[in-house]
Amino acid sequence: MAAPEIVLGIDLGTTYSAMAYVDQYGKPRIIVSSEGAPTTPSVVYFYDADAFVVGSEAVKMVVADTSNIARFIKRSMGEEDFSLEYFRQGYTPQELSAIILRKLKIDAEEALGVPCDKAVITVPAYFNSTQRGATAEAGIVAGLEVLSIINEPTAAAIAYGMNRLGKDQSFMVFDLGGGTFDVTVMRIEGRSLRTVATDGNAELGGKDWDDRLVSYVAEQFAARFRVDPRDHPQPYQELYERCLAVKVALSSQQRAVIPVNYRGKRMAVPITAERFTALCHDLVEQCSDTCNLVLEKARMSWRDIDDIVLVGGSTRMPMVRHELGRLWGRAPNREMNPDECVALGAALAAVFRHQPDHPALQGSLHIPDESNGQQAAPTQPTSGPAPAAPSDDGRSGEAGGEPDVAQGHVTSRLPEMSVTDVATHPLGIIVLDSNLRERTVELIPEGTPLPTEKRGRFAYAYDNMTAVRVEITEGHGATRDEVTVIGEVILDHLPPRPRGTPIDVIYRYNTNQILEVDIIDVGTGASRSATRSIRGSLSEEKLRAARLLLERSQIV
Amino acid sequence: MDSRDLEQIDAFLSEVGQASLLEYYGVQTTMSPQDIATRIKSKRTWAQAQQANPKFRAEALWLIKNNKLVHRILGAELQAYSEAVSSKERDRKLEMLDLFVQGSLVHGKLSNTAEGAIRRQATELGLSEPEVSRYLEEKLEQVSHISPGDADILPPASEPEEADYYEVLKVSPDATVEEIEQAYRARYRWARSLKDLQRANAIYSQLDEACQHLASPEKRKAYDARRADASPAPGTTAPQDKPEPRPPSAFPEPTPFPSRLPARNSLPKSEDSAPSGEPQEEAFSGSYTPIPSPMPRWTDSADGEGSSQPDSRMRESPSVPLRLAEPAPEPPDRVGRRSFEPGTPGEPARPRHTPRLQVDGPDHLAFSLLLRPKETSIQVRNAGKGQIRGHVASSQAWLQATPKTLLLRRESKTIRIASHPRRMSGRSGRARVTISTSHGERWVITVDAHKRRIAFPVTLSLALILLALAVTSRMGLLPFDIPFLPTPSAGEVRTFLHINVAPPADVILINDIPVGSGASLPLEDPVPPGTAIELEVRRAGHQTWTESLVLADGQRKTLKVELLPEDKAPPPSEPAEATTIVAPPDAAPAEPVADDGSEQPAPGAGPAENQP
Repeated sequence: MAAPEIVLGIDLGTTYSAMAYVDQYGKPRIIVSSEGAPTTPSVVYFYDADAFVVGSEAVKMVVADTSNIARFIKRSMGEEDFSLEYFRQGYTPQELSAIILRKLKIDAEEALGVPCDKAVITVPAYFNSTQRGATAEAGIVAGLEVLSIINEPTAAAIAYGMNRLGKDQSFMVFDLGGGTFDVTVMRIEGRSLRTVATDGNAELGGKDWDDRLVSYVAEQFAARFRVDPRDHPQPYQELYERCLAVKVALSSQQRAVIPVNYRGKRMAVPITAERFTALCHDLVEQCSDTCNLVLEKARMSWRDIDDIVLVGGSTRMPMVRHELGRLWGRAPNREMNPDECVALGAALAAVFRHQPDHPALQGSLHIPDESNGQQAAPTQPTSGPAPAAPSDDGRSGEAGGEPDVAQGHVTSRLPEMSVTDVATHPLGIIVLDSNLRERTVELIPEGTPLPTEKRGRFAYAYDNMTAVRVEITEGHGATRDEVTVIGEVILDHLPPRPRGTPIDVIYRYNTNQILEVDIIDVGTGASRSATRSIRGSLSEEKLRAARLLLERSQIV
Repeated sequence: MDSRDLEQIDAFLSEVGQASLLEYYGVQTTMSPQDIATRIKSKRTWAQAQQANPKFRAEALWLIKNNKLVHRILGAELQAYSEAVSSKERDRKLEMLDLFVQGSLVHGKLSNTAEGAIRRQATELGLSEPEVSRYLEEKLEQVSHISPGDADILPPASEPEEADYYEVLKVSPDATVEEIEQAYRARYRWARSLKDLQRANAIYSQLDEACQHLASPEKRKAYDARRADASPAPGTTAPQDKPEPRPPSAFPEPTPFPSRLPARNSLPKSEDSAPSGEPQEEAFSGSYTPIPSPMPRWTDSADGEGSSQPDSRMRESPSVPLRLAEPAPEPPDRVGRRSFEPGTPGEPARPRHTPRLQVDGPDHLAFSLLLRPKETSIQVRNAGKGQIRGHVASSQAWLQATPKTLLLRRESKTIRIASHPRRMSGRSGRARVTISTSHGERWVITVDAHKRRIAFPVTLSLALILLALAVTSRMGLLPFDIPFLPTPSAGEVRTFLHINVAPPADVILINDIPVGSGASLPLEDPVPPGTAIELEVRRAGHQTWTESLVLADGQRKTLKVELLPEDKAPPPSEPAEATTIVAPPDAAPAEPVADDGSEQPAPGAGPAENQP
């Protein structure tokens, strides 16, 4: 059997990134970075113009050369006017993310020995289309063909759901990463995986916990010595790194001491796990509020949740687990590796969506009788990793293909799985009401299962109009200022007719988050369609230029 | 540079507490463009390094995002910007001066003395002479058109600017502070007896002012010096006499007198609180000097005005006025961080050279007690400089406050307040915790405690339930086997059952009662020894596992349970190409906003070009 084309599943995180692929046996595997770690810190260190170090090597430079470090880039993703300057060269968040993606790509090619040009990149479910677009652009700049942008909780759910096909259960994906937070309620019914409701906060993550700790320590220090180590970048970074380490330590131990050394003054600030919990209790409350909100959206209660999947390194904090345990009444599921399952799920999603000819899928398609294949699917949900998979390192054992006998030879294959995502932001149109005031009309409400097609009938606002403009909006709100206009389509050369002449607008929104808009003049049948794909703010030339630049520059 | 740019910049400046970008960057218009660019660049480098630092995140992000704007404003548009800034600054100053002038207007006119004072104030604000002259002309022009009725409210007689503070209080210039205080009270009482409310109010404010000046040694010295200068040639020096005394009353309120009229109603209160000299002796017997300070009235009138003038005067007063706990001069919802700042509440604290006690916590606590003592803690700290010595006292034995003594330098201290129900005599009580400091500050926390009692029916029914439980659980054994209930903490473990389930169970039941879930469940004394156990382990999608067993006294048993998946029929069949679902397109129009009738509301498909 020929080796399948590699499509990387990339989890581009705020603090850490991971990637995975699905091997020919249908087993998703994490690709270990060139430093030998399953995840790569999303940190870029610029040591010269267009020369950078990415990953754990860059982390070592964080304290040494504070001003040439780029990190937490994901928090600024999709923001216009945001650019950081290194060695007189400005970098947009897209370009900085592209540097990380490029490093991942190079690592993957090194590890697998084949070119990896295609990828599926994950984003938090609550990213809006601009942020998604910026992420896609980062992939393009990095020299990857971004097949789709998928939601992190969806990816995690795919990885989790692989072992649970054939069941009928609802579960919650609780994704608290370094900088973003998502809660998604999903449902497995038979072999379909469906997003029921999702919500989140793109500005809440482990970084906030770190910040609390930094503030606590800095305030203690300032109270004694009247100087605040946060006031200067370097001492701040040093303190931040120490607090980060202590935060991680407090997940397993009860107390720790954070030494602070600033302006010749020294102080060791002791902290207990309890104190840390008290410092961050409102952050935890924010998380539980979001969970309750999502359950409300899903019209469910905690009793209806059969399992909770923890995703993201911050879910290792006992305070988060306890809170979930308190709300849910049971301890959340710990079988998934919170750092890796998103990447694993993304790799699986890539196969399902973009590689119908993947050998692991082919295995099942060879079976002539369809019902046969169906029967074989829900075998042993809890069976271990596929026997055919070579040298499983234990990390990627969460989701796996199933061994199956097809057409005389043993192969491994993926059970089919259908994944239904929902629109996380409502999409609408700006219209004039009867008083010719602008307002928005939602065509695709939040939570609509994708793909979807919605048709709205509107009418001429004035007599003798010859053109109609449809402005596509994203977000909740009734006025232009509350929503974001993400594009527009104009149908012109219309015959002048009186007001009230009907016009149809059709929105088609697919799982790849690409919106197609059709405007149809009901009277004449004239139509105009446009596609608003996942794109950010950069133009073609800029993308190309950035890509060429990145290809020339050195990545260590 | 347009108004949007300026708006954006202003929002940023108010965030960082600077008046202009020039100030923020330390830039002057005379600097070379290179110098300015260097400054901008260094700030930006700083912003880039600190953008992840939550303390500066907003500031740093603004600098990063608006780098171009800053370069433009401080580069090509520097001249225009600095002009805009200075004109804005001038407007602000003229506004302040306006308040001042309005307070000084009498019958729509300014006396010579008042004008002198205004000009002096203007110079202090940094306004130029011609600017002020032009402004005054305009102002007087404007005022002359207003009906004189407004100005008539001012008392015609006894012009305050002419008033001599010693004259107002009817004391000799060498009177002692005590004498002044006595005189103040006497004059206050006299004023209260007046029928003419307007006049009385005018006199109150005069008295307040006079007392403020004369009760503080420094102020008095300064005033005496001015007065001495004034006396040789009253005609020319009157302006010098006037400016200081007049502004404070005029400044916070453009028309001070009308707004004081309602003060008549609150007179009994002000009498109680300060001037009458019987200031809440019961609550405040501490070491503060009860100056007959008009503070409560001052605070009331200056509240919300945010003006710095009366405030700075009050800061200079020698003794710190007390916040009165009982009459509640502040609205009750202002709980939380409060300090003894004598100025207006809500004003940012300024660096001070005296120690200042700041208490983080409510001034009223309520405890609902059952049997155990309850405790709460409040934080105190020194918000000023130096050190605070103080002590913490409780008025009742059942209320304990620790520590008893305070020594506050920089750090904040925690005071624990505990109420002990057993020491209380009645069902409820009220007590006070008083934190008083060596320099006269005092904070009183009122504590109300209420002892709950377990109602007899509740106790009885609880006992009955316990009894019933005990009897049912011991059914078959001796009914009077005492103790009835095995107490989990005290009694030793008699049987032990450990259940290991793979895969983790959804629920584990013993005798049809759920006892737990998960992969591993240790159970101590699940049932009395010798009782039959019906164990049942369930998991969704798996066969239920059951077993009956009996545990003897002292027996420890570990069970390994392996759940087998249910032999279930395959899930409902799906099309083979299930990986890509195509949802059936919604046939019905999703949002029929308007069908086609023009009389329907909302007929509009976007703002579109209109055919001419």
